[in-house]
Amino acid sequence: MNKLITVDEVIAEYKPFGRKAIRALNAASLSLNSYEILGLFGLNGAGKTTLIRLILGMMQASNGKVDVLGFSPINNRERVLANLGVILEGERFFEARLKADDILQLVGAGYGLRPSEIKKRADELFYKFGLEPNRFKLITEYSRGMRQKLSLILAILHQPKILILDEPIIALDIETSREFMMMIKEIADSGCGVIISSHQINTIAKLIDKAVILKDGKTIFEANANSLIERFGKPRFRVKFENKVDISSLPKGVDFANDSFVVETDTEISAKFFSWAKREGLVLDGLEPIQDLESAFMKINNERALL
Amino acid sequence: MKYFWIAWARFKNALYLEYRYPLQALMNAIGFVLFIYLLSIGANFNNPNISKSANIISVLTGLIAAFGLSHPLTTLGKSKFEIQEIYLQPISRIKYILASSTFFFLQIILTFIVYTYIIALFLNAEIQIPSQFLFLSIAVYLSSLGLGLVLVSFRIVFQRMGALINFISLIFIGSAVAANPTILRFIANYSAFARALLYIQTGELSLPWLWGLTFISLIIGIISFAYSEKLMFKRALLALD
Repeated sequence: MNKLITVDEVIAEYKPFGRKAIRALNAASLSLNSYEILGLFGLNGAGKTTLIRLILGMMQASNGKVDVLGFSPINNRERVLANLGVILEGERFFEARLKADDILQLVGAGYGLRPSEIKKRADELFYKFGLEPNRFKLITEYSRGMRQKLSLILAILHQPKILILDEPIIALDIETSREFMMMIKEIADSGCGVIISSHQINTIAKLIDKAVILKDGKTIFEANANSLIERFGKPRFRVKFENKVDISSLPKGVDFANDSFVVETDTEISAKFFSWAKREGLVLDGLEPIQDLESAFMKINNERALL
Repeated sequence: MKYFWIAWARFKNALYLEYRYPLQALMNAIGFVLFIYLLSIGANFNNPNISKSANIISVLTGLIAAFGLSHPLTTLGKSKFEIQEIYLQPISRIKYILASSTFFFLQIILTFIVYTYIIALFLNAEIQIPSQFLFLSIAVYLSSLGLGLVLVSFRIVFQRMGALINFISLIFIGSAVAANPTILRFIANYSAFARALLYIQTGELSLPWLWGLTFISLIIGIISFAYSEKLMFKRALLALD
């Protein structure tokens, strides 16, 4: 595994003319290795996108160190960007009146690929992402999911060493999100380091190796995703019963969806829940613990607020 | 070579847009010919001592200057997302703008030559496109490209620039229609565009001055843009809209 990105104690500010400077990052850090998928989490305004912009060399840090593939992105933008694939704020910008293939030709040329190389890569990627039938359609005819897939194609067209995805599954349905995640996993398995910033924490939980949590511009957690769940995740379990269930008298605090119940352990609620099940004469069909990254995230976020 | 392929892909896409929306392209062409026609009538009215042909070519020179001026902004993009997309690619923006301007210039100059003949037909003017005009138009285009780079520098630093480019374009076109040799002789010391107009109207030509002014304008534009980019990165202005 090679170290791809190191961000160390970085401070960054937006300084528009005629307005007060806004400090967006205050001692933010992260590191990314090849084959690794890093989940970047934080509430709105925590500094996720700013951190990504710093890695992309789109802004300069006031203090601290940003190192991408051994270079400072602000001083070596072209060299760094040649090895990065990016989706910012959901999707790439497309001229809607063009065809997907035209856009690929333009972006590929920007990465120094010759038309013949772009065509070869495009053949492969359009097929792989299931967009082959729509390759020569105008972007106006693309659905949101198709546009996001096309954004991913643009991001990996030049076979980058690092892939940075800012809210890549925003507005995608469950099926397409899952498909999208599989593709990202495949890309990481080929050796690429991936950073995913998303609010849909549980959707990407199974995918990530490492989690970084930002709060008010500061890194408050950086470690293995499982250790985050172990340390901060609210222990919960999912219960299924063989019988048909009447939930009209279900105790408060228990969630019911898709024929199963989600209950917190070690609480008064779980005791009430099992008493209720006994009263109703329900026969247990299955019980499994839930790995809930989102509740772990909320817990660490709230706890640190009290520190 | 990399910039040649980017410029080519961009140019090809611009042509695709014309081809895919033929009605829009036709309406634009008709509107544009009418526009140049009316301006040429105005120029003939203002400068009756100058030949119709020279007046038509003056108008076209004004339009070439206006196109050169707006090219950097059009290439870089108007919205935050368009500009951001350029900055996500491993390219030098200056080289990108200059490379794409080559194909764009060829497109407009060829279009204008066709339009000139159409308008000359309407105005019953004997038109000749001297090779020297083509040569001059390169200087005019490059010098206004330099000014365009200065203006786009304002855009990336201050995010807003209102209708400044439109106003300056109108000044270029207005000068082509209304300026007489006396005024042009005065401005020609500072502007390659005025020097080109002076040549078209009177035949007075000083090539070292013309190219000197062109390069100064272009270099000021490049320096201004490079400095503004540094400022933009330092103050994190790219993310702002």
